[in-house]
Amino acid sequence: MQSSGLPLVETPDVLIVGAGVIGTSIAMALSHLDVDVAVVERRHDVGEETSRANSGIANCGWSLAPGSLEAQLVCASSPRWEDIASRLGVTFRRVGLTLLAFSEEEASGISALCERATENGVTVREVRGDELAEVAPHASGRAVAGIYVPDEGVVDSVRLPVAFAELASVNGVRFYLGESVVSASLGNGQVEEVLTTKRRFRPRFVVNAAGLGADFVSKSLGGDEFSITPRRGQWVLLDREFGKRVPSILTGMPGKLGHGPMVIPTAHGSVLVGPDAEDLEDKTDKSTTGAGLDDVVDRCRVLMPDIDTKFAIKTFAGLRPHSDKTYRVGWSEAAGNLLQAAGIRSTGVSSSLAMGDHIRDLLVGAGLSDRLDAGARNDLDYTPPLWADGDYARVAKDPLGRTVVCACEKVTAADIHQALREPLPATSIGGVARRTHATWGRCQGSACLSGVSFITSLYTPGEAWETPMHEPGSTLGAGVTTGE
Amino acid sequence: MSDVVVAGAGRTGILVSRMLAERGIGVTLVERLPAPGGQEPETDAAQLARAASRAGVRMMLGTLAAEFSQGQVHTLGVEGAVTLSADALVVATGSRPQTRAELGIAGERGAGVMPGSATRHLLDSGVLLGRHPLVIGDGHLAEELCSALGSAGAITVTSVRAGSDGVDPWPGTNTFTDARVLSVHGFPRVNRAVVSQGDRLTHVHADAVILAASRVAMRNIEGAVFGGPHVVECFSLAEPKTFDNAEAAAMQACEQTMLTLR
Repeated sequence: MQSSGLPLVETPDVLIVGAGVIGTSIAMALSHLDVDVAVVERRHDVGEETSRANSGIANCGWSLAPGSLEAQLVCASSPRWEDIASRLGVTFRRVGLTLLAFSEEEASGISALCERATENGVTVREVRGDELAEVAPHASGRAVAGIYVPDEGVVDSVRLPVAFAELASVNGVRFYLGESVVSASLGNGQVEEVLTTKRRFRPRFVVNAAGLGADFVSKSLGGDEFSITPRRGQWVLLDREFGKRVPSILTGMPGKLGHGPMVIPTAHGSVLVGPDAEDLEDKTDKSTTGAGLDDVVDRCRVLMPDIDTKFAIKTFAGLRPHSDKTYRVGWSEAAGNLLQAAGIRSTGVSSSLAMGDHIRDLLVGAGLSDRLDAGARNDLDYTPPLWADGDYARVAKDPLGRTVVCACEKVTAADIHQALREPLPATSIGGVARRTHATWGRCQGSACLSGVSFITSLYTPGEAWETPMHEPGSTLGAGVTTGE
Repeated sequence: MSDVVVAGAGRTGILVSRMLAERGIGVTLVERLPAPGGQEPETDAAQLARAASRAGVRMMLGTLAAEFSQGQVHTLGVEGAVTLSADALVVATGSRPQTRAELGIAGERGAGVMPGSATRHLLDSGVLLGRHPLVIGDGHLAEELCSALGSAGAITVTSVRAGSDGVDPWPGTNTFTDARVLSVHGFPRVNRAVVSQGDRLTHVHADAVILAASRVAMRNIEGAVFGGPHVVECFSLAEPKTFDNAEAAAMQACEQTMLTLR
């Protein structure tokens, strides 16, 4: 056993490594049981990696390999979205999806995909001609046929892990953010002690939900060796005014690297076009490239010729954890009390609801108490932003709701203070932006960044210039002004 | 009598409000900030606003014109949620520098890439954005920020201008002309920018990248972002910002509004 100067402060029943959409969903599921749960997350906030830059699609499972764990969990999650969204204050819309075929050769693949949907228990139908135009009025007239998938939805995937974590936190789960796993000691084939950058844990069970870092975490914990490679996707976000023309998701026939770029209405009315897919080595490379973005737009124009970059608000890239084996979910072969929830490449949001329950059931099967915590809550106290319902009178009831700080996204001072006071509060300007959409609109903070920074600085330690944009070291400024 | 809502009480918005009121239109001037004059306050704004009030313009300060739909403007402000009926909406919501996406700047998402408009307010609040800032832009805002950053404690100020050779570099700046920033690098804070001049690429040490390039219209009223049949845009984007330019834009918008109301 290695020794450490760090105090032994934690002996949770379950230690979850990673607070993305998977880790937070597991935390939420466990928070309803009378067990002690802690979560460690390398980044300064929950949902900061893959979970913050994804499509927002809540897939209904129609095209997944029938019988796979991925298909089972996605299909089990799909019917639950409306309920969970209303309880947690997360916007969800079941917008539907149309897959387009542009030649009879492409269309010949439709029947196989429809059969696959049936096997997955999802109702879809082949559409042509007038019916295609009716279900996807925005689709290119060059499409000869399509598959209409009415159950496909979109969710505010940026708020989703925050909401999961907040309910977990309200129910007593402890979150340690900005803290990485360093090593572990094993005894009798079990993880006995986990050392992080700030403390030691002696957990009964460990869940590896570290997303892009799951291979490193598994190795650090003495678990199985596997590799996760980052697959970068680049995106362009288009304005809500354009969103009025995009009632549902459009996609093309799948290729080797999964679905090509898609046209996706977001939960709050804007439109995402993307992603492309590029396998990288550097897990931190979230850079965008001009050529990649042009390519994304060109390919999406095939689906919807009206796409016009004059509506573009911003561009960004996200990394999906691509693994040699997708859905590496189950008990580790190397360490008996280590449960892997890794390799979840592109359906993490879609499977998250059932994944939480699946992991809970595996833990209960291994001896974790299944006694319910009688005091656990099922919903959050959360005041939705104006864009969620457009109800001006409701927002104006709160005096702080009358001060609109971010005019593009209509984010009020009340929304920003709420983000900084939530059960798991924002601790950075970026954290406020993620929780409220402030600075994320058409002017990208030109008008409101100073106001958002000012309110945030009231809650963060240090001087105004030290207010973090996101991770430690990402200070707003470089120092204090001199002179005059 | 027709009712018109004017959004934005910068110089242009105040002028067009007065012109419309003098033609017998019922005008409500809605301003997000608590005082007239706009985001970069114009010194003559108070006087112009008094003249507009005398002409019959109703002012709603500290109020955002949030949405225009079906002849109604939804506002949110100190008086709460107020819905105004409007036969036309005049959008005079001012300008902003171009965003990173509009400038096509690729690269990492480190802190320190700042809109020029926010930079001005943060400098006023004592926040020095960078010791080696790079300022993108050719206009008055960029010039003013280069100077303000220099006197606020910046050690080197790099100015990247799209304008061609022959422009005089602003005092105290390391200036690139005919240039654009291709990408920025560094995390958690930016530390480098790649500047292109034709085929030539230069890596510039920069711990802040200030976006102060050519002003574009600030459009953020839902339902009127990309125009519409009863929407009149009233933006004065010419450099430098002068009273004459503002008056010309206001007169044009006034004529257009009268046509819309006919």
